[in-house]
Amino acid sequence: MKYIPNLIPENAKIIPEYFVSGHTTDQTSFAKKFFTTAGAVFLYILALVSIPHPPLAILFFIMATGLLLPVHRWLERKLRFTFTSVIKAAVYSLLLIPSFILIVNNGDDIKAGDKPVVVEASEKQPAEEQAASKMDPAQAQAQHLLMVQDSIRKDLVLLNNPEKITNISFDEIDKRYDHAIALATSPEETAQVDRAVEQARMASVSRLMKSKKYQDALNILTVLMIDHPDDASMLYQRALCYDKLGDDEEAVKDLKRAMELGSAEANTLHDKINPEIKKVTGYVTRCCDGSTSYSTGRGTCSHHGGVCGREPEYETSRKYE
Amino acid sequence: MKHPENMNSMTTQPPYQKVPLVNKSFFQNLFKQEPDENAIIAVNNLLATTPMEQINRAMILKIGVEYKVDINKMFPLNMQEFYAAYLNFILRKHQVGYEDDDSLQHLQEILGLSNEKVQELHERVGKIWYEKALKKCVKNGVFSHGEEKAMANYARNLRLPEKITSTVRAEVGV
Repeated sequence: MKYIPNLIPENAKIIPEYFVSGHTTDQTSFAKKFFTTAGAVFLYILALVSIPHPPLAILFFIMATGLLLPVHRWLERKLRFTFTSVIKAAVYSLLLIPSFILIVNNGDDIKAGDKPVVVEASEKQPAEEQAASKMDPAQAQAQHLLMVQDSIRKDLVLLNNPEKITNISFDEIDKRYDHAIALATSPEETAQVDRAVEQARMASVSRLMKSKKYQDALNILTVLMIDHPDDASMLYQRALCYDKLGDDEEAVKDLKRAMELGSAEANTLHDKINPEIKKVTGYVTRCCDGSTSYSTGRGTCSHHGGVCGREPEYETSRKYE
Repeated sequence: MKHPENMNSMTTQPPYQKVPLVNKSFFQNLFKQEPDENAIIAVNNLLATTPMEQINRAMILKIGVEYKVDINKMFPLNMQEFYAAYLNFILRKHQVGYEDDDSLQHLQEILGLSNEKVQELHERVGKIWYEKALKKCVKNGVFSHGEEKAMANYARNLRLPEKITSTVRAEVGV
């Protein structure tokens, strides 16, 4: 309920003590009040729970505060518009998108072991040091070794898990690799980490290619091939990337090397990208006894049963030799 | 309180004036909304620019639809003020009562005011006029029988209940 003053001319006004602004009554239904308050309380709780993740906590706090009826009315007054349910739904949907992204990201951290392994290791350090001070040196060494192996195992589990690996970035793979390789104590462990990380990187390449990010996949493959210049599979994958990016010449180079290494799929792709081109270079006379003659005069094939036909002679070549 | 005596310049023209509409805010433009207050301003401007007899209830309702507002629910005081101002105008014009009762009935109808609310406004406005007349009567210190009869008539014309007239008489000291 509103009252707009000064519509009636000053000299025609009557009972002004009765017609005054401020006679507003709250016409909000009990159900609406209840649900908005409940929603705000729920979002405040979420904000409190999300305090370890400040951006998420701030988002929930903003959403909760916006639901409160006095804030709602204040916004309407200050911004001079009606905060309809549709507008509110749109605004909250927009705020929920970053919230979901933040929740999903936090969820990944939790799935991958609650916290990054490096942080985890550093957090464990004081407790570890306290315990080590109480143990004898041999025991402490063994304990340390066990923890290192456990940490490497965690990285390996992650790097060997195709489902998880598709969700983590190439940088994260590198981080895990650096961490695991730094902790590896034996050549076996180093080899194991190397194998795992290679698989993880290839999985990352496949993911990029599936999502048609060929340039990114090409960059990763080029880095990987510094250590594996003769890997037929990588050569084939890189050729595919070149092909998709329109650089057929580079694609053919990789395919030729892959073919030399015995890759059948490289052969097929090579024929497709760089097909054989046949060019007629001349004609030869076919005698009836099956022999050929380059003569074109009257006596051609006279000692070979006569002329049976003329056949073209081809020269084959490819665009990229 | 504005005294009716000070309104002599307003005896011929209805008490409405055209008021400019409120400009839309940035967000109202963005969300294609109309300022609510423009609905009551549009009603005011309709009363100010169109002869009363040509206005009907549908025109007021149409304004409400245009601005997506239930005018009587959102601006009840403004609607009552339109009526009270016109009632005061009629009383000033005819001095003795509601000869122009038809136009008041029509205004009540187009403004969608209830009989109870209209009676309340009549009492509030009528009390002012009754008090003014009573004070005039007792100005010379005598309140004759004839004056008493005339005041009783006036109270009837103003639709004032006994309760109000006796309160006013007590206040004035009659």
